[in-house]
This record gives sequence, structure tokens and C-alpha cells, in this order.
Amino acid sequence: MWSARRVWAVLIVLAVITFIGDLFGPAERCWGVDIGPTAAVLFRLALIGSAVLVGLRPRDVLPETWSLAEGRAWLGLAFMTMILLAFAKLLWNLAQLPEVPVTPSQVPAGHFLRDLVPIYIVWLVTSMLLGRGAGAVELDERDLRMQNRADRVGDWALVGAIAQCILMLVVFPAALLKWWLAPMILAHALIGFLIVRTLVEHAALVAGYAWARR
Amino acid sequence: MTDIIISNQIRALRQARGVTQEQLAAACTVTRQTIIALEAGKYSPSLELAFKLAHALERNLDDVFQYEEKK
Repeated sequence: MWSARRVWAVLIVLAVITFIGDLFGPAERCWGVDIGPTAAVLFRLALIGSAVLVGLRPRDVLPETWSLAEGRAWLGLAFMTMILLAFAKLLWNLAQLPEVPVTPSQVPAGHFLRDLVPIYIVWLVTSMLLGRGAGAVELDERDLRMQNRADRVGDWALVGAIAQCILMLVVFPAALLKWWLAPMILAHALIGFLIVRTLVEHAALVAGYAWARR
Repeated sequence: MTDIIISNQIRALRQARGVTQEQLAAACTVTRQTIIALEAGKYSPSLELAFKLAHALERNLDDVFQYEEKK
């Protein structure tokens, strides 16, 4: 009989593989199977399955040494990574367009939004369900200290990204930056900065907990 | 350079009172993982938490925490 943790690990691996298949799978059919839509359905099922399992048996799934806040930090890191990958794919699709989009309706964001909505809902639900396995205290001073430190790391990452942008604007010729400076592209680049900042914050939080335990 | 070392007797005092980590955590409104980190000497608590721990263990602060300077 498989333990809940092992089943959960399998579901997570399945979710990762199908998510990659959904995003980067070939457009043509393989052995009569349309990879994209099939992977998308399997991805959603694996995602929902993992959330249900965490909700039913949170203490069996996550390591005992993790506080609720640490579990949520890992969850945040995983889901933000998925969001960043989906967003990178959107940027790639934007770069493939023959003309730079001028209005939001011209941006091919349908696939990204179809991924984003279930990811965000499952993230919220799983995060809430995780709380069922916690004690009376969900967040204490140690967690808040960790979060403050991670928050600062996230801020520095954003400052670093903006500084890099300033450098690029100063150093590179305007012709080279023409595509990036189109309003719709620039707006997406800024959204990307915010996604990266949040991802770095979650990564720093997870690293902080691991470092404190060493 | 002087290193400040704060050690504690939380585990010994808790076990002497027959209190579980979970119960002590609830009494101090922290998570069990914070009690684990404190007992392992991997976390220095705030003054407020230090007093809460001493109160929960019915000891003076000096009985629970020891302050040491190493040169």
C-alpha cells in the first residue's frame, strides 16, 4: 500500500510533466493523441488530486518538521514557478507575432489565462486546506521573521531588475530596444518583473527555513 | 570580537513537567516547529516569547535561558 506522501509525490510529478507538455508540447498529434489538450486535462486532474490529498491528510503529506508557513512557502514557490513558466510562454508567443500588439485584445493571452485560473484557484484552496493540519497557531514570530527577511530579498531582486533595465536603456541603441519599448510589450515585461519578484521572495523564504534547520 | 551565546533549558524543563512540545507551543501561542527550533538552539526568541516560555514552565527567565559571552 502506497503512503499518502508517495501518492502525493506521484501526483506532483505528473502535474509537472503534464504542465510542461501543456506548455511546450508539439502542436502536431503524437500516436493519434493531441498532446496539448490531453496534457492540459491531466495537469488539472493531477493538480486537483494533489490539493484534495493535502486537504484530507495534510500531516501525512508534508514533513513533520515543516511549519504551516513553511508548507505554504513551498506551495507558493511551486505555483509561482508554474505561473512564471506559463508567462514566459506567453512572452515567447508575443515575440512570434508578425506585428507588435497595440491593444490588449491582440495579445494571445488565452492559453496563459486558462492555465492561470486553475493554478491560482488550486493554490488558494490548497493553502486553505493546509491550515486544517496545523495547530491553533498558523503563524508565529519565527515565521514572521523569516517572511520579513524573504520580503527584503524580494525587494532587492526587484531593485536589481529595475537597475538592469536602466542600464539596458542607457547602453543599448534605441533600435535594438524598439520591440521591448512598445507599450503592450513593456506592460508585460513589468508584469514579468512582479512575478519574478514574488518567485524570488518565495524561494528566499524556503531557503531561509532550510538554512535555519541546518 | 565577543560572541554572545544564548542557550536554554527548555527541553529539560518541559520534560521534567511532563509537557509535550505541542502543549508548550499552544501555551506560548507559537507553532510546534518553533519549540523544536528553540530546543535545538537554532532560534533566539523575542523577549516576549522568552517571558511566555518562562511563565509556561513556571520558572524565572534565568532558569530557562543562559547568557554567555565568549571572547
